[in-house]
Amino acid sequence: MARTALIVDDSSSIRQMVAYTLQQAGFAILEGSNGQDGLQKLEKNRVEIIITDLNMPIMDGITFITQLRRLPGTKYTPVLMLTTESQLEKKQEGKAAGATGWIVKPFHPGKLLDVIAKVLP
Amino acid sequence: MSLWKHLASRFRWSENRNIAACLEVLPVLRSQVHEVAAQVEKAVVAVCGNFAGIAERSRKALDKASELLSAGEETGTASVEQSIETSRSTITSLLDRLERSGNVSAMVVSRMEQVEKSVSGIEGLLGELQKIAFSNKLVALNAKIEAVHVGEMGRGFEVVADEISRQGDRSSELAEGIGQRVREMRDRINGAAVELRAVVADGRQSLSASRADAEKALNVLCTVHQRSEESMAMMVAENSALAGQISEAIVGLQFQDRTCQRLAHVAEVLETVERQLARRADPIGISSPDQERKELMDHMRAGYTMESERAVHACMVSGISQDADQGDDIELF
Repeated sequence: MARTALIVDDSSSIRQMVAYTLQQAGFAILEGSNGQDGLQKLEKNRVEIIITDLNMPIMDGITFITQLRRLPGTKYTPVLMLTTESQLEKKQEGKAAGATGWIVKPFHPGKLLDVIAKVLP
Repeated sequence: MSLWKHLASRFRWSENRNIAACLEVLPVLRSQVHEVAAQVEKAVVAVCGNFAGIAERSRKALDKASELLSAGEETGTASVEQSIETSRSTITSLLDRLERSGNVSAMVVSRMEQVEKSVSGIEGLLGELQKIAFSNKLVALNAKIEAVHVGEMGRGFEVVADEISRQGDRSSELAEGIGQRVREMRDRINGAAVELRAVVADGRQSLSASRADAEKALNVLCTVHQRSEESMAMMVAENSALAGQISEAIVGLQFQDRTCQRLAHVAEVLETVERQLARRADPIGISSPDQERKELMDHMRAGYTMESERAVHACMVSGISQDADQGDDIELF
């Protein structure tokens, strides 16, 4: 059975690029266009990894991670922040919220898959 | 000149007369910026979709070719390579069996030739028997002549002589009959041997040609299979190169995300400028130029999400070029 990844980003092109990369590695894909949408997807689905953007409308990435860490099903699920932001303070915010790692866009598909392989249980 | 100074000088020049005009223009500019961002995103999504389609088709073609070449391996039946080898073995075995049958036929021909010789020997013996029968007849004739010479005394002897003569005739007839049957048998054996010899010769020739043809066909199959495997290896390499190029293209296409974010930030600033101009049009809500400048700058800085944006802003404010240090692009906590 294929493992499932949740991709949360307000940019449909980034969602598509990440989805393509992960599908090549055999993942099934769920998508959300902001944090709130991502939380709704998590209510009905079990995922093995979450990749989220930081700056999104309605609910940003930090709030999304903070809330999903409160859910029993995603308390220990690896969450990678994929963002154009590289400020140290933002990274620390992400870490404090419960992010597993931080990847600055543009991402390289091979490197993204390497990181995913490292953080997956 | 910094952005603020530029805007300030323009506002001073046209402050009261053009605010209304600017308030009309700014929303249009913002809409244009949003539209450009949306169109670029749409185009990139289409390009990505095509890349994904190309990669998927390429992968499917490769899977199909691979499936064809390794047909049977997964289901437990023979693969192409194994089938060729099995065919070679079966044909060779069949041809060997035919060759052995040909050898047996040649042996039968040889035996028939020996039988023919034996039959000729029997004919010779029958000739001897006929000579003996003839001699016996002569002896019987002489004995009859001698019996006539002695008259009544030789009557009994004459009867014996007659009987010996009849036995001689009978022996001669039997020898002739046997000779006739033996000749017929020899002719039949001879005819069969001739036919069989022709069949053996023809079979050997055909067998030799068949062996060469089968070998040639199997070699062609092997060559085709080998070339298919080479093509397959080439396709795998090409597919891998294609995947690599698509990966690079994906990295390149992400410029759209960065561009769209920067355009969104520009649109937000335009909106702030629009609000400030609206306040100027209303004397009650008017702010000081320094307050407006600070508010605008703070808003711009707060909206940046990329080091490259911050570097450009700092450069425009200070006039000094700065490197956009992104730090590590991947960090695990």
